[in-house]
Amino acid sequence: MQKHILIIGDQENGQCVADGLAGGGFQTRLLSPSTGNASSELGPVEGSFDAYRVEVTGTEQPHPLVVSRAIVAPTPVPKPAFSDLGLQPGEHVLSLSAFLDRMPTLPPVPDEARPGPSVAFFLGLSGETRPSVLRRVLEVLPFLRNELRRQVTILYGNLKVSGAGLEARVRDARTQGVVFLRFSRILPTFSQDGEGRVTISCVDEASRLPVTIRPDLAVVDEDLRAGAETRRVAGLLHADPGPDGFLPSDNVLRLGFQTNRRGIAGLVPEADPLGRDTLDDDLAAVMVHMRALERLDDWEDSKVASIDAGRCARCLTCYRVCPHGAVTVEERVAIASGACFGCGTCEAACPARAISLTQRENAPQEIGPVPSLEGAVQPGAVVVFGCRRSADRARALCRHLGRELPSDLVFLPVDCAGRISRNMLLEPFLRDAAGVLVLACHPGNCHAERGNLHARARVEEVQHMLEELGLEKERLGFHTLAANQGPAFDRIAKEFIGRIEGLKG
Amino acid sequence: MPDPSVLVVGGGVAGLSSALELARFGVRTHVLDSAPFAGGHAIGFSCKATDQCVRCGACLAEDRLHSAGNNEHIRILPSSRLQNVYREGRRFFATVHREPQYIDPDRCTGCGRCLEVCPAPGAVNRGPSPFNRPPFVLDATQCLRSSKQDCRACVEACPEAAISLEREVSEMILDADAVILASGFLPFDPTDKPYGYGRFDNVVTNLELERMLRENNRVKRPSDGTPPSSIGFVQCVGSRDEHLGNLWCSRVCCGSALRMARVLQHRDPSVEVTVFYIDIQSFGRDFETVFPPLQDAIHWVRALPAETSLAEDGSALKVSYFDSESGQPAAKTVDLLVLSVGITPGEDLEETAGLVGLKPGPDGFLDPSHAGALARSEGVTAAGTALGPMSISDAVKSAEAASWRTLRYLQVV
Repeated sequence: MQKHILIIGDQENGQCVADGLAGGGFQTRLLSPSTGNASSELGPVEGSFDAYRVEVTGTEQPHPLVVSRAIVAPTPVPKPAFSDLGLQPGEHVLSLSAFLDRMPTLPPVPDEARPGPSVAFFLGLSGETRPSVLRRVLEVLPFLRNELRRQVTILYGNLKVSGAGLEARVRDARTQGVVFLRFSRILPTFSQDGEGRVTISCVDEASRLPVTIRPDLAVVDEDLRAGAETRRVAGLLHADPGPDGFLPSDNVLRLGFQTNRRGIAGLVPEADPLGRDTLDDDLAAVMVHMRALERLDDWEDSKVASIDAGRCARCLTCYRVCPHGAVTVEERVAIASGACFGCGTCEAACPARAISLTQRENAPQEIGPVPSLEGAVQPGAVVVFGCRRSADRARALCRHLGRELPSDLVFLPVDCAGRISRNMLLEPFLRDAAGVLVLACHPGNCHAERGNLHARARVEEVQHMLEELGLEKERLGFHTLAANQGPAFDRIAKEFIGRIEGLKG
Repeated sequence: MPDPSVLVVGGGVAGLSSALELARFGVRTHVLDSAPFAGGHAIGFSCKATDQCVRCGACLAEDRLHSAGNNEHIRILPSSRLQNVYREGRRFFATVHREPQYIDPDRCTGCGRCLEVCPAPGAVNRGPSPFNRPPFVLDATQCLRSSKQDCRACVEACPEAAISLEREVSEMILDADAVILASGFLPFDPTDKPYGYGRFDNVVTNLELERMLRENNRVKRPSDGTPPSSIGFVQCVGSRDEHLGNLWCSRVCCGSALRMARVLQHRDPSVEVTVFYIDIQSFGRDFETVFPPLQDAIHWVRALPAETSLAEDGSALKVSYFDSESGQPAAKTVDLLVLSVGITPGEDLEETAGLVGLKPGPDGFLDPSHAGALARSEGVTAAGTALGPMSISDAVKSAEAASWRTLRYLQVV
């Protein structure tokens, strides 16, 4: 039975996405993040993958909407640079959107008027602009110049030509008489007269001559931002946004626009691989992942966590630490198996040791067990817990490059550093190890989003415990690295061993 | 279509990502790569994290190669070139030319003994990653046997008996139900530019800098192996270049140079960095927070150099340019000069694309309008930098899109 994908977006963007997904054979429901008149608007979202329960506010529906997945199609909020440039908007000073709306109604100029009225565009003079903004300007230049007979000057900071075809278009525009004035350190100054017309005073960097421009119209660029609505949606979905406020986070491991919540994707404005303004490739990437989620037995995450109800103390530690929103709290605290990524952060955090990871049925790979220290740790050894994704591979690269690894190292790979519990950190010391080093992925690069951060926090806690036990806290170390940092593994390990040796006696 | 299979031309990050995506749906792939080692360009890159990930995407190449190498649905064929393709009905029959596989990937453990004992420089080459299969490869053109000398040092040294010198070039015929062209890009060769590449030791490309950092965790001046105290980056080498007809921005070089500058200064704040540029392109969704702190850390020269000459000490580089602020010629001396070379169309792209009925656009990259539209009717689509300049993350995304279109064409989804 086809399950629905909820598309959260305004009528225009959301419908585009809905049409694209329908073309891919998905059944969709479109819901506005907020319409203002609350006729049907996104409310709280509970549940998890395959059964998200969405409250729809303002309707007579008694039951919440149940959908299997969701896609957020945000509407960025244009933020014109008026105040950053010290300009008052008005008849003669417009944002790019306002100008494009007005442009078809501008009167063409009769031939005799020489020089004709002019339009000045400000791009990236206060803060950086975007290729899509430049594209919108370049697209209307032929019409502006040929039909409307306007002179055009573009005053810019950095020209953002990193989209398909933009450089060639800029060159065409130059040869057709559009004036491009570049500004590096010394920016133009503006003044506005009683009618709001702008006078631009600047120094042309090419000729180093002072220039004064009085355009008929000044058009100010706009940045595209995540508005309050976009942030609200991320909050309702309990999904982590990126630094710009859009879903998903900018972790490079987030493929197919998938967020940290299984089955929820977020489209990012201007994400097209070639820098064009199309949704096609983005939607195709989303769809392949949404389809792949139907094939449970092919999930790369082959582990799933479960809670032993008999041991669970309902402390809700797991609920708080789970990076994927997979813990449900009802009569029992339970882990939604479909939502679980098997990272093991909960297993390591649970004070009652009530959580364990097990192999999913039909999973392609064997799970890595929590490493056993039995027989592996001799007195005086240095134990290294290393994330399989980063440290283990860096170690392999280090060896591959022909470097000899320190022999007095016991390397224990774990699936995610988040799976290393406080007990695991203490146990080697109980077996007279000289030192313990935890190697995790760099912040922002963890495939379980925050496993590395949990590992660091646990290391710090156990460092305090060591001090209380009369041991030097330097015997427990933490470092981050990536899979392609082979020699760094060598350097970090040797530095740590050197420090431990300095502590002896 | 029972048991569909796809031919992926190109084993870089886009090709491997396509293969992995298809594998999730049970679709088998053969991934061809003309190089002796799969992983494309990105497998030679280094992590550029400071105290946190800077989203360069280099680790994705490692990730993809590792996963694809272990996936039972994917067969990676290095040293393999697509020779010809013909169609019969909806099936493709591809003739693939394979260089001799002197080292057996199923036996090689990557111990490196062959490299240790080989007397001829360049005859045994180590792959960029331990996940290359095999991790070592013989280059017959450098081997002593190519000049009729009898040497069997590697064969004798190999503890796994993985090396056989009696292998020959072979041709194989692969059949497939669809094709994904992900043959990557050619880095611009800056030899003809007046920056001294190939003439002066301490002029390198950004790709060589990445490799240096990956293999040594440090940047060293090629002339004497010392760490540079001043580094110059020249942007847009081979890009945005009317003279060459390269009328495109290569998109990733600003981000690459600035991330590199950042990590080098993070390690040694005394390193002086100069960037010669036209415009700085944005990179990453956190560009607004990443860029301002760099403003003060870097000496910005908004001009491309006119030429580079050797400084008086015989190893540093004197970079001459026109300073528009003063209206005078000026020069900057740096210990190491890094040329940010552009992404240009692959050497064989036109020919390879022609074999499957695709035609590059005016820039020489595969016209994107072909990549989507044709796949539905003809079973061929394209991904990655064969389409045009893009970052590693974007190449993965474009591969996901290509996989979707292929799966739809194959009626798997």
